[in-house]
Amino acid sequence: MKNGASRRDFFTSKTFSLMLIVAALMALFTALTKGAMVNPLNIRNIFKEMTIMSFLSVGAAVLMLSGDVDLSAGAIGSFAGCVLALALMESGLPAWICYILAMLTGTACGFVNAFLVNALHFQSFIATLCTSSVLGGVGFMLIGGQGLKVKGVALLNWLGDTKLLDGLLPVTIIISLVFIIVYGVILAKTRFGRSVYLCGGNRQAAYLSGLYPTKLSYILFMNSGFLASVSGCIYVSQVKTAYANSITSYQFTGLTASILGGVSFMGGAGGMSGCFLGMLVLSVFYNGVTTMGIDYNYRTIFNGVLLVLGLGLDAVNARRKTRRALRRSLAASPAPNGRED
Amino acid sequence: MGQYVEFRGISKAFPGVQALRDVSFRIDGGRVTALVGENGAGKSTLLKILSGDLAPDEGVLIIDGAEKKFSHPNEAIKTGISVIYQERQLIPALSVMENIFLDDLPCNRVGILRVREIRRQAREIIESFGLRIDPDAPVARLPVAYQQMVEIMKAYRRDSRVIAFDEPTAPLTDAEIDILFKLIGRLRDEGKVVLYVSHRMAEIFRITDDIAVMKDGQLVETRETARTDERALISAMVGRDVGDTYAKLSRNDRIGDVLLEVNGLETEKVHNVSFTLRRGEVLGFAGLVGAGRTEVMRALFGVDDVIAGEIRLEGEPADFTSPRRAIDAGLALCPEDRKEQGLILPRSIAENISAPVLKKVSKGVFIDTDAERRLADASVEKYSIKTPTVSKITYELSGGNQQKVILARWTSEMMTTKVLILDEPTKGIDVGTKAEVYQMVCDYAKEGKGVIFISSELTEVLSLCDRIIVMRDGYVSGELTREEATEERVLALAMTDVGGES
Repeated sequence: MKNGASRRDFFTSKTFSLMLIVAALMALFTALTKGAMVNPLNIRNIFKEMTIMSFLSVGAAVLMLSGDVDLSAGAIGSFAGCVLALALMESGLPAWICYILAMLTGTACGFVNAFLVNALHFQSFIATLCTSSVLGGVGFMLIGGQGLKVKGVALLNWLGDTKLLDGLLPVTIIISLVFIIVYGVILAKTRFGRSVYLCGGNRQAAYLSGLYPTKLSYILFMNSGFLASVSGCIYVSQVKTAYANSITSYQFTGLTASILGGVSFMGGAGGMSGCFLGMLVLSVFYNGVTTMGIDYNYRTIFNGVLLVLGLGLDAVNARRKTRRALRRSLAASPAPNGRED
Repeated sequence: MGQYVEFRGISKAFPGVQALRDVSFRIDGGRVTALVGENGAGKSTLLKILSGDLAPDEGVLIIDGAEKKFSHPNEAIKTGISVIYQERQLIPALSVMENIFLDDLPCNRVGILRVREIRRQAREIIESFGLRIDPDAPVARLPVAYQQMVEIMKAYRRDSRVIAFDEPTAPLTDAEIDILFKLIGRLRDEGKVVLYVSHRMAEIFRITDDIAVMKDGQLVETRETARTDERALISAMVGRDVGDTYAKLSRNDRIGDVLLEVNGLETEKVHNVSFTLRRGEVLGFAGLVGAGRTEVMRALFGVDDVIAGEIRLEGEPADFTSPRRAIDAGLALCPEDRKEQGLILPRSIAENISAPVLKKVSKGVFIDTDAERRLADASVEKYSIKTPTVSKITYELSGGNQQKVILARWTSEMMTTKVLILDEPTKGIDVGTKAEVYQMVCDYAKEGKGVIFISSELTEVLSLCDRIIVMRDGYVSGELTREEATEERVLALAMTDVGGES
């Protein structure tokens, strides 16, 4: 009985509908590309597609769960990439220190966001819009419009180009998956993760229950900045060039994946498994579209359409769930005139 | 001739509950009809069907002889039905007159508001109700009671034939309730259909003519108010004879030494507040809404800044800088406002209950979900919260059950509370559970803990508390022992001049 109910819950769950979408997309594109979609190399490409987006999406999801949004993640990541490239080419410091420097830069930008939101009470939407704008400009000042090429850095080449298992498994994919799993466990299992949900669900009530929403907000904005900088560094490692807007467009992809995965824009609801599946849906789609030879730039159309489809399916599911529960309760309850007295 | 509303065979189901089952009864105009029942009996659902918020699965409404099926609240409004909910449906930033005319603002031919006309008409309505409210004042600046008056005037202006009130007195003080009842009396005398939903027995006997009793989604009976008494009514609601709630309480009679001492407490909102709480004592806080009772507690609990004064818990200075520290030191504050300060709505019952004791349901950094579920299960049973599982999202619970979840959070077995502060804990919960809350308060006292009990329901304060502090305008205006306290004395201390403000 209990198992039956939970199985039914699973089949009407967000996770399940996302898995359906992934499967349907795979099938569709496999048919359309005459099987080119499912060869191992292409599966790798699907995950590779996901790498840059994944860090941004994870950061966005965690922050959104707490009730805020970071529109500067793309700018922070790009800026951190510029810092990395400059440090590598100009400073003469060891490469690993340059990476740490870039990530510290991202985290510091996150701190600025947190300060604007918590100390000056800006809406996160507005605060991050400001920082995004400023950072984009500063990045351009540092690098210029041509971008900065990075040559001859061993660590960078290793990180960007190493592939394990006969070229099937790039290091960057491993890093991305590790991050997703670690954040998933933190959110679902730990006290810290719980406090994210509680503060996101109702900041004031959480504070009165002994949590520290302000402190948490600082941590999460800094975390978002940190993850953005990781994303930016990986981009530079793969492409070997830093641009002032290298990963800006990925930011919206990351947000889309989180929302598609069921993370509530109001905070307090959603999880990492949904977020991961959201990324997968997008990556499969982009990959399929590219494999079919459709212009990569058309993908934003699909971005929007997928989001509408995903959320629409959600609404239909919720209604179905309600109707089923209703029938069940009608069947289970005694006849109307079965009243005592 | 007379106006009436008839429910005929109304049924409605939600996921997991049959909220209404074949409810049929008739409400006549020119009389005030009470709708009573425990939490989850189906009163709110019935109101929502009346107001067009929900469509019934089966059954129809008959209004003045015509069958109605609303699929949208607008249709109900056009038919002349107004439901006045606990959560007021006004637009705070707009003025009184704009709110009164909200859905039908008089405009000239090009669509520009005829402000002078609106003001004149609004003033007429306000005066006809004998109120002194400035039509240009933004609603947000009015006291809660007056906001409610604005809602009534809005309903009146629409020329509503049917006006239903959902627990209208919950946020009001006794003086404000008098004004409200005068207005309701006037609506009745004009022959309107008035439906009155409340948990408060005294009020029901004071202003209603008929009573419809609901239980578990069904109509138990309707009876004339004059031909029944409180006890018979309660047993009809509960389904058994509960006897006199207060007489049956097993009170604590051993009051010990001083536990909490407050001296000259000064915050932005309250001034020079001093009182003591002893072990085993139930200390009541009475006063009008906005008198500063909640603000004193917020200062104790480390939420509001203390400007001056001294707080001592068991003799030690206790100037807490955050709720966390207050909780760790043994304070528990069960807040008044369910949705703003109480519940974390998108999360489950279990997560809500474990929130202040997260560390205790954890192993290292990980949450021990088994321990958490055990804690929540125990609370669900203790307060008979109606839910299939503790993983149900609190958003989906009925109002009364939500209130119980908050109580459960602050009185769970893992809280190591020395001073329990309850701010309007019985607001919106049914008679049966009220008795349980009272007994819980007494049990805390028996264990040598201190309880601070804030309530606007005077009978409750008078019957339960060992001592009563009365507040007015941010000051303590008096202190009464259980023996000295009468309704009149408390009211005299709580009020300056009644009504009149705007």
